[in-house]
Amino acid sequence: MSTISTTSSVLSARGLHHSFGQTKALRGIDLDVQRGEVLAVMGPSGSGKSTLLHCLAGVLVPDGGSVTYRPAGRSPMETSALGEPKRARLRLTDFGFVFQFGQLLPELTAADNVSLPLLLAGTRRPEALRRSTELLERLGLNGMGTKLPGELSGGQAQRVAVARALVASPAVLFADEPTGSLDSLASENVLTLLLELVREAGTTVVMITHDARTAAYADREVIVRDGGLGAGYRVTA
Amino acid sequence: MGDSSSPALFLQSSARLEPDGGQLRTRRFHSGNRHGTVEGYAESKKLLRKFFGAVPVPDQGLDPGGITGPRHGRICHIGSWRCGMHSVYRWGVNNSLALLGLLSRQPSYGYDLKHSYDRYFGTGKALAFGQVYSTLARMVRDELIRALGGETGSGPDRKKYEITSAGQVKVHEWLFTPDVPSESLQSNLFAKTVIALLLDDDADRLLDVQRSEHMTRMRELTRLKKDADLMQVLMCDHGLFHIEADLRWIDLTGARLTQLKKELQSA
Repeated sequence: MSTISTTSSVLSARGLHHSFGQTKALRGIDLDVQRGEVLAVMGPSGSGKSTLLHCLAGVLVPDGGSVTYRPAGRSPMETSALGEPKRARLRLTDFGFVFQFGQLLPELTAADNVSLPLLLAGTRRPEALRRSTELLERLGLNGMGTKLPGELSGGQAQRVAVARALVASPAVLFADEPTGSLDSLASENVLTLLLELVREAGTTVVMITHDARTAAYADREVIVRDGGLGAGYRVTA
Repeated sequence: MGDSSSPALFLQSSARLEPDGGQLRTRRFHSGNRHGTVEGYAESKKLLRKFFGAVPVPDQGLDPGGITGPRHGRICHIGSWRCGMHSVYRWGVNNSLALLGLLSRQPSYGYDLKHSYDRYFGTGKALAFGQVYSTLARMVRDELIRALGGETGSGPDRKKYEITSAGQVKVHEWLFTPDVPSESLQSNLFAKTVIALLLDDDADRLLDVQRSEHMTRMRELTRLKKDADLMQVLMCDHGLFHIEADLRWIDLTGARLTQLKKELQSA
């Protein structure tokens, strides 16, 4: 039984409920995510993993319960009570996202894709490109900045997606099956690089995965079953 | 040896059972640090035969009965099925044959052989000198190797050994005899799950506890891979993929517990 304290948590969910029509996706989830930890969220298809991640990230507002975000050096905020514009701003400035299939914009070069979060946040283009190129190099993509997504391999494209998620130095990175579309070796390369960068920066990671080998890169895992957390997990107060 | 009527205890016992014309013979054995005897568990055996078609036989450590014996580690058998649930795949290397294989490269001292073994296969599980020397003595007895007089090696052992032609044949056979696949299909965990359901106990919790143990081991292996050389990485990967297979089985079984319970009750 892992008992988690809320004192050092960066995200806390309490009594999360959410339904899609008649389908109950979340049934009263309590979860604390510790600052700087890498948390794997596992569970069968349709168990509510993605809904949980979307509620934690402020993409969805839960039907019931609350999500509290505690940014370093700022006051805690109940993100589930914020309107969409404020949540969108928060997602841009504080959170990063990696998806299973990269979701890169096909018309933009790798460097421009990576620069997007910075440009949207108001960073000037030369500075955004400099930081993007630097990060792409850290991810072993030297000289790939001018390539279009269609010219990259799956592993390379996913590393670009990782760079885009991390370029704005988010406090929390949300990853939904970040290596789900890659073969074992490419998956390992992406994960190793991703974990190296987030450990170095102290970024918190919430990562959905079906893959136990991917989850083994995390500090701990929680299992979501039928919209609730599996046995072995409990939060305090 | 505790309650002989309890199948669950039977499954956890460190005894070796041998089918013998309907009789069960007692046999002392050694498996890792576990020693034990058993006087007979006819009811348990009957029950196990009913559900598994066999009885579990724990492994015997470092090949006490000869070079073709079982493998190192706390590994159980159910009938002819070998499983690594206890060890969570800490290298099911056949130590004796691996040592013989190393020796087939060139004559070596026991001390050097032990260090070669540890370098290649001993990550987290180095061989004890005593194991090496007793294995070498058995291999001399079985004429798979021979001692080469009294040259001084780099350790305390002063005997140098070389492989015989019979030993080379043995190594060759070992290399090209495939291991039995799917050997963990009927595992100790499977037995525990069935027994828990039969006892109306919490099989879900049992699977969760095992899942957590597997994940802990996977994290250990994943950490070991960091900064490791390619050989160590590949060994870790071998363990990781096997544990992952168990986890998939755990997930699938967890989803079918209700159905399994019904089938067991009607069996």
